Amino acid sequence: MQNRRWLVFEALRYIALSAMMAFSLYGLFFMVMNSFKTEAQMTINYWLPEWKNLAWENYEFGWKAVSPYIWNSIYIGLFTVAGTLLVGVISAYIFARFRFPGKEMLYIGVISLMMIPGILTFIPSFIIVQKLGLLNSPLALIIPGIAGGQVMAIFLLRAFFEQISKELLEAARIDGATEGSILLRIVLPLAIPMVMTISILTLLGSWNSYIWPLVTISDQTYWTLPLGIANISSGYDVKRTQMYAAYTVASLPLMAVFLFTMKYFIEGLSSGSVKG
Amino acid sequence: MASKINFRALFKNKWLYAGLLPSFGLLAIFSYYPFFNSFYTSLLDSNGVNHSKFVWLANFVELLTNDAEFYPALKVMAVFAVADVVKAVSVPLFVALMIHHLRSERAKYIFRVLLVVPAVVPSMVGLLLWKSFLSETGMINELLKVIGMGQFATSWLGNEDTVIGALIFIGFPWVNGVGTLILLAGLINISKELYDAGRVDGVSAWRRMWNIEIPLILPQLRLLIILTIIGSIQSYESILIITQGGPYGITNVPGLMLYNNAFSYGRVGYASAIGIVLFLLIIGFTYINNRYNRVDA
Repeated sequence: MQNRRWLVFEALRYIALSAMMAFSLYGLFFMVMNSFKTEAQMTINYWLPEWKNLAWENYEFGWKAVSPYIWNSIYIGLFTVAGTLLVGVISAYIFARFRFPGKEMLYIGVISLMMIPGILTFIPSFIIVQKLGLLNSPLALIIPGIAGGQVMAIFLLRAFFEQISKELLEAARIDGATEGSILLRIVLPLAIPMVMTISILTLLGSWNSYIWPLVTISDQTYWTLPLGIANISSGYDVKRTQMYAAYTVASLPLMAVFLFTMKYFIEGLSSGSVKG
Repeated sequence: MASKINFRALFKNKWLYAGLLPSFGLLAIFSYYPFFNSFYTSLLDSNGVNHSKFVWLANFVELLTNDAEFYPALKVMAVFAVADVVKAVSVPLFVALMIHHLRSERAKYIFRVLLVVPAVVPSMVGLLLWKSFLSETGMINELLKVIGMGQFATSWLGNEDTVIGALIFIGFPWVNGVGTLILLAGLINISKELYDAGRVDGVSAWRRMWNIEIPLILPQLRLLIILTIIGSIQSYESILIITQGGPYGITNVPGLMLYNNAFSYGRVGYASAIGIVLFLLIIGFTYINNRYNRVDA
């Protein structure tokens, strides 16, 4: 009796969860399946996939419309991630492993920035980027991206580095290892999961950013993906199915990253909350 | 404290400070300076380029007493914030609880992966999809036709009676991956003994939720709520993309006012004043939240 009751509850849970997931993912499914239809096919068969005569020509349009911006977003994202890790790892290691005057004060100076909302610094940041002559350059996205992204990286990495056993590092030091090689050969390999998590979070931030590039980059050659997508969507002669193909193409790069780093994606989004 | 600076200690550690220099150099230019500058800019009548005059608190006085847009925008922002909090807590809590109580670890993992899948789609694509779904020829109206309620079809985003509701509807059924994962992390930390004790006492799933689970994941719930409020106060990206504040300005929010004043009307000082007011609101909510946390702990 007890057992059967449990079974009913378990079944209900599966049904409810599957229904929720189906509902919330249907929009994406709708986008992908209709990207393979012609406009006429979509009018007749709106809700379900069409298995024959796939309209690959939509993808010709989609690829052409989106690919230049994909490359921009990829290299801007990669530079932002690399810079954030470089600066963040060094500072976090110094904060975690050494004692020096002013350490905690400096550290508070870093992490208190998590309390400052982006909307407050948005305009002055724009003005400074303008004064530095970075407008209309990918650097306007990369450098402020590193400056902001390192805060969370330092916070997460310092906590992680402090957990690594002191004895292990002391042993390496006695064996004559330099600080640099301790960091590169011992500490970083241990921190790979955390580094991956931070990379994913930083990449997502750079990838999805819209308003900052909108105001800093007016030259279309440097537009990132969100700007490019918004632009084709405002075109009048673009068909729905073509648009869905462009959207699908735009989703492929992160899909590829996701397939290889699923675990870190989940970790990253769970810990994304530390970023205020 | 600062009277006796130990220069020798500073010098001995010069390489450490040198190592921190890249971080602090970047922060100085792109975080500290903008932070302090925002307060100064809010006291200027400035277009950000070639005109700038110190006007004391005139921007704040105008915003708070003489701007017909501001209070309606604040009200719309409050409506969205309340809706966002309800959305961020209700469905994610429900989904997190159900995933948590599944027996199979494998199934738990699969559902967690499914929660994350929408994150691979650029957020811009998500917003534009919803914009198209809510349009006159979009999916929502098609669905109404299918279920025989075609007479209710309308241009959800163009109609002033429906646009606020339509914007809140976006993301339905609001299975927020980040929120659900945060709550799941809290649920996983609840000790097995408590669950066993509940089982021995024959506690129903409903009572278990109210008396064991919700009290114990209160920190995560609070975090989710405060993050949502902070996000709602600042957010105008979706409105900028979907309605531009229309129709007739009824979806205008303070963030959008800030953006328009700075980048369309060339009123940088005034826009900064809006930023300061929003910052103070955020500080206020954060303070309330921290006080609550302390009382309980």
